[in-house]
Amino acid sequence: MANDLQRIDWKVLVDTPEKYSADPILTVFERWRQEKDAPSDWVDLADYAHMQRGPRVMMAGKREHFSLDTNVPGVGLLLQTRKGLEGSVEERFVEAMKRHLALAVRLTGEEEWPLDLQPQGDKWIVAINDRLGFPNDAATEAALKSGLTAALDRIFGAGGYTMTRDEDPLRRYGYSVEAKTARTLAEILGGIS
Amino acid sequence: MATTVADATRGSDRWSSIPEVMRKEIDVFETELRRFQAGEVPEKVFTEFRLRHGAYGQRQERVQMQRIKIPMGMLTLDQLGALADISEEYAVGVLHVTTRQDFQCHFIDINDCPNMFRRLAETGITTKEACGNTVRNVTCCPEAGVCTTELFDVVPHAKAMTYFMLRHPDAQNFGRKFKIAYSGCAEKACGLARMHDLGAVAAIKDGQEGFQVFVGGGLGSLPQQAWEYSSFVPANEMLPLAQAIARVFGRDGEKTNRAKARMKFLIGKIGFDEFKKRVDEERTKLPFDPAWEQQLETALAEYSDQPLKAPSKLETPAGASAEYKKWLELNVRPQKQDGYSMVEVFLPLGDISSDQMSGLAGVLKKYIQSTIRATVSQNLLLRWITNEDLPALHEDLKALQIAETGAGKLKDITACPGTDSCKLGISSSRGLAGVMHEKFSNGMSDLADRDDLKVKLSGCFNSCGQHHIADLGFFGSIQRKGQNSAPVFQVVPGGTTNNNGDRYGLAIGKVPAKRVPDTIRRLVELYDREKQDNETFADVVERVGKVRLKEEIADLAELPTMEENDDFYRDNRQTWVYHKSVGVGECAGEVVDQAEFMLNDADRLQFEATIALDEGRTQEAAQKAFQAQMKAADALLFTKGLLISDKYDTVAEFRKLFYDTGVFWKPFAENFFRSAEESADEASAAARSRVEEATLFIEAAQGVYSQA
Repeated sequence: MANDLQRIDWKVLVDTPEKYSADPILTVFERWRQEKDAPSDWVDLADYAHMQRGPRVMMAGKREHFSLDTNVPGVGLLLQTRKGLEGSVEERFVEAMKRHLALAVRLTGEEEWPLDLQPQGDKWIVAINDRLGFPNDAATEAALKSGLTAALDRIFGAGGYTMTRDEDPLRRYGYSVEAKTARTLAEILGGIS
Repeated sequence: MATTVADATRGSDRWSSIPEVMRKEIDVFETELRRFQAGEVPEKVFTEFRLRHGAYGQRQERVQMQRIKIPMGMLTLDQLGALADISEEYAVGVLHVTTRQDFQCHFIDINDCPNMFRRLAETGITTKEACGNTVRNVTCCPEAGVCTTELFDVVPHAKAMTYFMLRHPDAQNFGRKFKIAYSGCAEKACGLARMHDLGAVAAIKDGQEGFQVFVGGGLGSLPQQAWEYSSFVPANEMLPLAQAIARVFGRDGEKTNRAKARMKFLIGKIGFDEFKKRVDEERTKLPFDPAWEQQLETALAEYSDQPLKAPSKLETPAGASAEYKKWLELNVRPQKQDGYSMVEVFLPLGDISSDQMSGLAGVLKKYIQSTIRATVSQNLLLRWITNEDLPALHEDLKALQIAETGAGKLKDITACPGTDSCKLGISSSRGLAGVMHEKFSNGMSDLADRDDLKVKLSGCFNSCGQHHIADLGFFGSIQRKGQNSAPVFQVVPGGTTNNNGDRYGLAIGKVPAKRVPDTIRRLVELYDREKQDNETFADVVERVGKVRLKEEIADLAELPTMEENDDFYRDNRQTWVYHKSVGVGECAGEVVDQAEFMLNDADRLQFEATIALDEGRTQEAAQKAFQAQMKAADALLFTKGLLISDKYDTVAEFRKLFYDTGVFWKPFAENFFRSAEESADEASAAARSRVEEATLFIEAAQGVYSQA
C-alpha cells in the first residue's frame, strides 16, 4: 500500500455572480493543453458544464488536475496533486500550494478570464485526497497536523489564519482555512517563506 | 521522507474481508501490470487482460477509463459510497452511468487500479469482465420487482446468470463481447432484450416461470434485431442454455475479423436454424453442472428487496411548491406495491459528481433499506420510498442539486462518450448533449418534458449511444467542404425502445453538428403536424416516408463554407477548429487466443513460484510451479478442442495427446508427470528443481503452441 503523501487538494473559493459562464476558461485550457512540456504534464481538458456540481471545467494532468470546481462549499479553483511531491509533510503542503497559486495566478491573468469571478485569497480548503493512506481519523491528524500547521504558517504567517477541521469520518481528512488578511493570489505566492 | 501512516498500523489486514477469489484476482492483476511494465508480457496480451478487468484505454494517451460492472445496475448504499470515494480520489470526481448499467470513471492512472479494485471489492463490486471479449454486465429492468406491468421479478434470474457466467471457462474464448439482458415484460422498454446477444423476456407457461429467449441481437454499425430462439425456456434451463450458446459462439464465432465477430454475424453466416441446431447439440452434450441449480437457488434465497418504512398515502402537502409538484409529476411513479413510489434521479449526460454521490449515499439511509438501480437511460432509480417521505426526499435531493425534472423525457438525452474520451469518436456527442441540455432550459423548454419522444446520440456509427432505437437518433460523422472538414451528424429517425427495442431507425442524411438542435425541433414539429390518432413517431416516419423527412430538413443539411461561417467548423462546446482524430478502439479488445492467455498465466504462476522460492516459501513455490505446468498443459489441450468445463484429467489427456504422440519433448513432460504424483513434502524439498522444471516445461509448451 502506498502510504506516501502525494494527493493534496488545495481549493481557493471564488465569488461569482448568480449566473456566470465558465466557457471562456475552456478557450484558455485549449491553449494550455497544447503545451507539451508543462510541469503539470497535461493530458487533456474536460468539460462538465452540464453538471450543477463537480469540476465545471478542468485540466486533467498526470502530475495534477486543475479545475474550476463547484462542489461544496462553493465555487473555487481546485488543484489536486497526484504525484511528484517530495520532502517533509510541511514541504509537500507548501509545494502543492505553490503549484496551485502558480496556475491560478496564470489563469486569472489570461485575457479570457471572466472578471466577474473573484478569487477570495483568504478562503481555502485543504484536503488529503487519499482515504486509503490517510483516513480522516486521529492517526492521520497526529501524522499530518503539525506539518500542515507549519505549512500554513509559511503561507499565511504564524497566527495569520484560523483552521477548522472536517471531522466527518466518511469525508476526507482536511481543513477549511481562513486567512485573517485578504491578499491576492499573486501576493500569497510571492509571500511564501 | 514524509511522515506517513505506516502500513503496519492499517495496511496489512485491510483487505481481509475481500472474498478470496476476488483478492487473488486483483493480486494477479497487480502482478501482471508489473510484469507488463517490466517488458515481460506482450502488449497485445496485457491489453486484453486489462480490458477484462474493465481498464480501458482512453483517447488521451497514458490514462485509463475504468468501467465498473454493476450487475442489474443494483447498488447498495455502501457501494454508492465506495464509488463516490474512488472516483474522487483516483479519477476526476465524476461518475458516469452507462447505457448498460455500468459506471465509468476517467483519467485514471493504471497504477492506481489494484487498490481501486480492492476498495470496490470490499463492497462486493468486481470489475472482472467489464470490457474485452467476455460476457459483459448482465442488464435488467431497473424496475424489476416493483414494476406495475412485469410478469414476475427477473432480478434473481439475472443475478444467477451473472455469477454463473462470470469467470466461466466457456466464456473466455470469444472473438468479441457477449451481452445479456433480462426484461420483466414484453412491452416496456427497460430491458431492451431484443438488441442483445442473449435477451430474456419473462414468460409464463402452464403456471411455470420462464423466458422468451432472443439471440443474436445487437446495434453497432450494422444493427440486427435478435432472432427468437424460443418462445419459452423454463427458468431453470436458462443457465445451461447460456453455456451452450457460449460454447458455440466461442468455438464457431469469427476470431480474425473483429468487425464480423459478434454473434449476429455468426448466425447470419450459418443461418439461424443451423445455429439453433448447434446450440441444441451442445446443450445435449454438456456435462451436468450443479451450479445450474445452485446459482438460481442462491440468488433466490439471498434476494431481499424490502422497504425501510411502512407504506403510506400519497398526499401533496398543503402549500407544496410548484417545483415539488412538477418533480412529483415527472420523476416519481407508483410501484406495484401500494404506498410506495419509485423516484428517478435525472443525471444530465449520465454524470454525477463524487460529492453528490457521497451525499446521496448518506441521505438515502433515511429512506431505503436495500438497493437502488442505475438505469439503461443513464439515471438512478430509487425504490421503496414510502409516499409520505417524498417531500423530504425532494428537499434532500434539491440540496444535492440532483432534483432536476425530466427523467425519461425528451430532455433526458442518451449520449456515448464520443470525442471526449473514446478513441473511435468522430464528433462530440457529449458536447451536443450538453448544448441540448442547455437549450431545453433556454430556447427549447417547450419540448423538454415531452414523454413521447427520445433522443439518442452516438459520436460515431458504432451506436454506443444507441441511436438506432431512438425516435430521433444521431451519430457523428464528418463532411469535407473545400479544404476544410466539419463535424456533422447523420440523422437516424424512426427507431424505438418500445417492445424491448423492436424497431431500428435508418439514416436519412447528414446535418452539421451545430444544426442538430434545429433539426430536432423541425422533426418534432413535423410529427405534431402529421400524427394521426395514437401514432408514435416511428409510425409517422413509416407512413410519411423518409423522403419526406429528408425534404423537411433539406435546408438544414446545407454546410456553409469556412469563409461563410467558421462556427460550423467547430464542434459543439468546443472553441477550436475541428479536426478528425480517430484511433483504434478497444471496445472488443484484441482477439487473443485463449491458449495464449493460459500460457501467459502459466508464466505468471512460474514468476510467483520464483518469488516464493526467493522468500523461502518452498512448499508454495513447488505448488505454484506445478500449477504453472498444469496451466501450460491446459493451454495446449485447449488447442485440441478440450474445454476446462468438461472437467477432463489434465495429466492423462496431456500424456495421451502430447507425450505419447511425441509432440512434446519427453524429458520435460516426464518431470511434469513425476510432479503430479509426488507428495507436498517431496516437492517442497526439491522446490528449486521444480521451479526450474516449470520454466522449461512452459518454454516447451510455448514452442509447441507456436507451431500449432
